[in-house]
Amino acid sequence: MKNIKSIWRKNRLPYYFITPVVVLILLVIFLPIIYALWLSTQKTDFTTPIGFIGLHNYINIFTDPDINFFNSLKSSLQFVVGSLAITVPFALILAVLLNKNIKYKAFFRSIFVLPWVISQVAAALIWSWLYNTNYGPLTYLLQVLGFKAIKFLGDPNYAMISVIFTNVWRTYPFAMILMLAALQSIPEELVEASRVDGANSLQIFFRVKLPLIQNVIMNIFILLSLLYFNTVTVILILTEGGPLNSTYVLALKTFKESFFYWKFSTGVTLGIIIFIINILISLLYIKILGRESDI
Amino acid sequence: MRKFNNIIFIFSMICLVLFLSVGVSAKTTLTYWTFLDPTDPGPRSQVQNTLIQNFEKEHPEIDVNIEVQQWDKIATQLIIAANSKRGPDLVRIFEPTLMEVVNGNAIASLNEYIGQITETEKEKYTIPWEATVVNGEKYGFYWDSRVRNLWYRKDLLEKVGLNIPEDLPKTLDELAMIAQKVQTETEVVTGIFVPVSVKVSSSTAETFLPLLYGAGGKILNEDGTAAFNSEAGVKVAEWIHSLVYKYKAMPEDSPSMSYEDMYQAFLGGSAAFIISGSHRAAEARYDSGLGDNIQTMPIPSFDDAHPSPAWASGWILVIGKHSENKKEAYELLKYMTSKEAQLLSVKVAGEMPSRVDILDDPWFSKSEAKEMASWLEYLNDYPLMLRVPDDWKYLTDCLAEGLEKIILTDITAMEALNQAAEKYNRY
Repeated sequence: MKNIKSIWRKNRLPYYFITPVVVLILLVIFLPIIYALWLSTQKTDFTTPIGFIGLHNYINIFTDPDINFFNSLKSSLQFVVGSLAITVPFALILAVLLNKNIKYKAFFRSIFVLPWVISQVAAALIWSWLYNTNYGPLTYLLQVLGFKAIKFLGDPNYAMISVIFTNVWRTYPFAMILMLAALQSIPEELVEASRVDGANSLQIFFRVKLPLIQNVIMNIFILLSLLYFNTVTVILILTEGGPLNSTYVLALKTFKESFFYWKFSTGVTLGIIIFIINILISLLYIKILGRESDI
Repeated sequence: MRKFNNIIFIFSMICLVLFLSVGVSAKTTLTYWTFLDPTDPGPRSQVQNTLIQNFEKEHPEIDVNIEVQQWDKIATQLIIAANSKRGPDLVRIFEPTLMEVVNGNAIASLNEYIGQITETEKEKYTIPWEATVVNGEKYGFYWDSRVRNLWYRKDLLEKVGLNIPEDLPKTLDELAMIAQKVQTETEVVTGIFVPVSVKVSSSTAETFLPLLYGAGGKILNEDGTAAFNSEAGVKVAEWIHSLVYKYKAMPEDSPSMSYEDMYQAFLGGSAAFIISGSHRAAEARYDSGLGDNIQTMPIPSFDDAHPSPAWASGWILVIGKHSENKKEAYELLKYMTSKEAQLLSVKVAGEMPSRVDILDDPWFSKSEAKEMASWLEYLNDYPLMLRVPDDWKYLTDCLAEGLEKIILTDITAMEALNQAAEKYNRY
């Protein structure tokens, strides 16, 4: 105890400096969560709480056929898993290619990063025109290749995959940059040593490089999963949850219930549920990450 | 001595700052929310700019700061701002959102500013005075009035041998047949666009409602429950379905298109008919350079004896609940709805006026006013006045979802509208 007191006396100055920032961050992060938790137990009139109703909002969300929670959850999972399944391998391939000593490497790196700097609204508007069945260039391309026109955003069977592709196009640069940085940090001696041992390029990639960057890939999975689960803008502009609720993901439902229909307490409750799901996803990945590290 | 000089210096600086603060705060800055971008060269934005400049000249003690908001998000933003006890001074809200912002406690009553108004003065407005009165409180004044018309491309109709105006459609079935004719005889053209999507639920409802009332139906019962799942509603829904599947005059993936997609397609010559508002006609001609090739007419109904009614609506100028400059904001509101301002808007922007006492201006007897006169006549002869509920967005989403089902699935119109009505009634 005496030791701690004397250490504190000697080293307290840095803590005085960081305390205000820590307090601010706690206020900005935790206070809204606590308020949201409280609001989820209230009935609201527009944005004003008007009475305590306990867990009624939570029960309502899981049982009300108009809220259709499980359909939205299914859509969210389709969106997340579908986007990850394309983004991560695609970004990895690009990162590997950009890691090679090719001509105009800097130019290609700049080009491939461009979708990331375009705003979600602009990206969604661009793609909504690309997908237009009557006037869009994609339809023209399909017809030139001898295929029938596809109702990309007008057919419930195709709308989700169309939205996923737009999302992948916008977010792959983020994963690509992180993977590229990870690949570049691999010591060249390890690669040389593998080559000397007789490994070919594929073996070097799968047996040497990939294991070394797997932690980065896992972190990308976590970050992208959270990003995709909370995506609203792109889907709102492309389909607004349609057609026939085929792309009505949970995050969009939260937004619409809160700010379109003014069922604020329902929206807040959905937000809490999404928050819990996000934590569970993160914990799952961390557990997998931990297991991989042990190995 | 040095210390004394420092004290004098600091005291002088404080006095100077206080003096400047008083000087600066003597001028009032009004925040005006509108969807019209002042940098847009279009006629409506330019009229707005001119009016603001003129107002500032007449009131040198007032500055107006325009903040551009997305047109369909103004009400939402206003309610959110009001919830944090903040917000703009003057706002332009879309008429169907009036009850939403009133019940969301986001706008101020104007009763203390308008004083005693005689019945004669109330009658000088195009849309009845009572349209913006809720529970005895006057909440706003219309900036403009407008009707939904059927727009057509004169050049495309003439291309398929139709004489204008003799061969123009007198009923909805004739409209469908003409749209089909244009679709089949000009390869790249879509006959007609009618919004049928949750993505554009407000436009969907604005198109559906005149047709519904024209067929003898109504949107809601007296008790607030859905009434659009009537025989009339089914008839309209089946007509929309026939545009896609019987006449093949509208694409199957119309539910994926935004209203802006359809509007641009019309301007681009890829559609012969569209239902749109009178307020955009001048802008459409300006944007496209098509001039008189864009024409408007009353929306037909199923009966050739009368068109569908003209839903009277428009943008309403209101004052923010937490505005600190309500008196000055009311001055701006009064100016924007003055005879002078309304005449400018009519002549330059082609928007229908919100007051009828300007109709004695000589401009209205000119040939260029003919179309405006026809819209006013349409509104006068077949008015549809609706007080939409504060859950307008939910109502229109339910309706649009039902219409989407009719296009995209095998469900019957009656089933789809019944499902939509039940969903709305459970809200």
